[in-house]
Amino acid sequence: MVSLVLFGSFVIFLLINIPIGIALGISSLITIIYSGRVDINYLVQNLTTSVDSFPLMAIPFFILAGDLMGKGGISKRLLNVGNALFGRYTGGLGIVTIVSCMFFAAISGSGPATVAAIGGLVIPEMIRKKYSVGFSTSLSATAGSIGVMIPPSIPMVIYGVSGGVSITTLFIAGFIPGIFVGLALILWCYISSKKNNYGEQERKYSAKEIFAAINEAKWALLIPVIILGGIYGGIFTPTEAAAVAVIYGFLVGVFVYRDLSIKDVFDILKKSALTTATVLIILGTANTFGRILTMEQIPMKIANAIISVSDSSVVILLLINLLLLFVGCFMDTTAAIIILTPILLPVAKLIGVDPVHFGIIMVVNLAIGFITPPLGVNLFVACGIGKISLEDLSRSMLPWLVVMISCLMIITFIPEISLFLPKLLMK
Amino acid sequence: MRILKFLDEYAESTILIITLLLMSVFIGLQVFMRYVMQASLSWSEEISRYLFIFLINIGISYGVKQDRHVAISLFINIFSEKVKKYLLIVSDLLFLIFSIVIVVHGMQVVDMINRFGQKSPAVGIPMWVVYIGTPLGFSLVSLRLVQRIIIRIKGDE
Repeated sequence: MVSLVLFGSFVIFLLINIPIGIALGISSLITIIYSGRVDINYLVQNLTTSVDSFPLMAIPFFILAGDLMGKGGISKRLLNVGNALFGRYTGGLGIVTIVSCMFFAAISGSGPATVAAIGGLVIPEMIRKKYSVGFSTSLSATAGSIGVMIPPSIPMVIYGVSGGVSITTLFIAGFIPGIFVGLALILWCYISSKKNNYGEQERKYSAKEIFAAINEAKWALLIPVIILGGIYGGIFTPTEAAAVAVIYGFLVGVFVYRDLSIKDVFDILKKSALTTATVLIILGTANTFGRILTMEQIPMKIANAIISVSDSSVVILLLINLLLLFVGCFMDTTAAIIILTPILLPVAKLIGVDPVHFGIIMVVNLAIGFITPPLGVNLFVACGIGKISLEDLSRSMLPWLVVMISCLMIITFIPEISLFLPKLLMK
Repeated sequence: MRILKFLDEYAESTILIITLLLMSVFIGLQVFMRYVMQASLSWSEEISRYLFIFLINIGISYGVKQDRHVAISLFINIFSEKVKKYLLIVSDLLFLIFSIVIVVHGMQVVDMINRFGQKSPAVGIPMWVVYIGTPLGFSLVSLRLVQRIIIRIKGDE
């Protein structure tokens, strides 16, 4: 009965457009009053204690760093390098977009930010070069989802904190899956461009031009080295790395490239703080929600129910993937991770899935959630840039979704893709 | 009146900008001191963490003002504008009740912690200062919600 009150009220609140974090809070409150099992003060204190966390501070910093660099002309310089290197191949501009998104993903931890930074520049250019609007926008939206797979990654920080898994290890684990997805997208981009004759007659860049582009972008290219090198080398924690990236991005944007004004910086600070708060209120109330779930032994019951369906771990993982993909269609990625980690992680552990590997599975799943209609933030951003309706874009998304889901299956069933690097580096 | 208007526009955003700026500087400084000056700071992490708590609480209020909270609007959009408006008012009212409960109980928590006299480990800040962030933030949230509910009702005429 308690769980019915909890879930029932939660669903109703979600449907009438109450923010997810608040809906979690109100349904917890109602359940507390109904059952009297937790103190209301517990809920209130949790709003403070659950965010009193140094690892979580990486979130505003990574958002900030990504925005500073997206605005500060760093994305433009990354694109120039990509163009000098890959522009001459069939579907060249598409490949350049994907590679730039992968690079930008190593700076930013967010999917929509990656679409905005790279897609904003490249979609108009692709359309000008006779790529179809649907292809250009769907490609950018999809490539942007790599933003959360290649570390740093905000969903990984959240998963790490909710599930008690090392964020550094997750960051190491996400690297190969991210590259793998990127390569798969490049392959499909090439095949599809060949068929449609996209970007055939591009010229080849000379070694001198390539060198000039790299030289111009050297400050930007150094960022992933600092962030990832610093974290992997154990020099600093993910949060410290993020703060260093912020200061670096600020210095480069304001003093080296000089395309960031102080007013821009204030706007970016404000926006990053706002995004952080809207994500973390969910964590604050989800903690109490999760506590009630645990007291009612709901994660265990769900785990048992899933396991009673089948004892094959393959079937169970498929079911979990289906559930995550479904949720990803309707719910924001980070919110879904906050709510589902405490429920699904015990199931995964029960069938012997490594928590780090499971984190990657969840992140890839929910990255796909960024690009599945009706609610896919990357789609919204890309629609705005390409001036195309969500319906038209959704149609063009189909082949990309097939590629992404195939990648997901491979990442799910070959744990080594995620676990190889952590095992190698963390001995 | 002019002061009110100024506060309405800039109260939260100014606090957010200053807080996040300080956090970045403190943690950047922490890394710099440890690796370049070989002298670890004891206060930077703790202060930043507490600033972070304030940032989130104030940010929730700013999120209401800017209508940027993460919600599912799919279902509500199938209704006519009129029905939708009433549903949104209901949802704001529920949000408001929740916020008021948080403020009231939040002050109880602050009072309790104050009586314990607990202090933060590194800097020695009284812990009630940290915990007051939540009731403070949700007071602002309540004000913003009242503001929004009034705007929604007035929008009818």
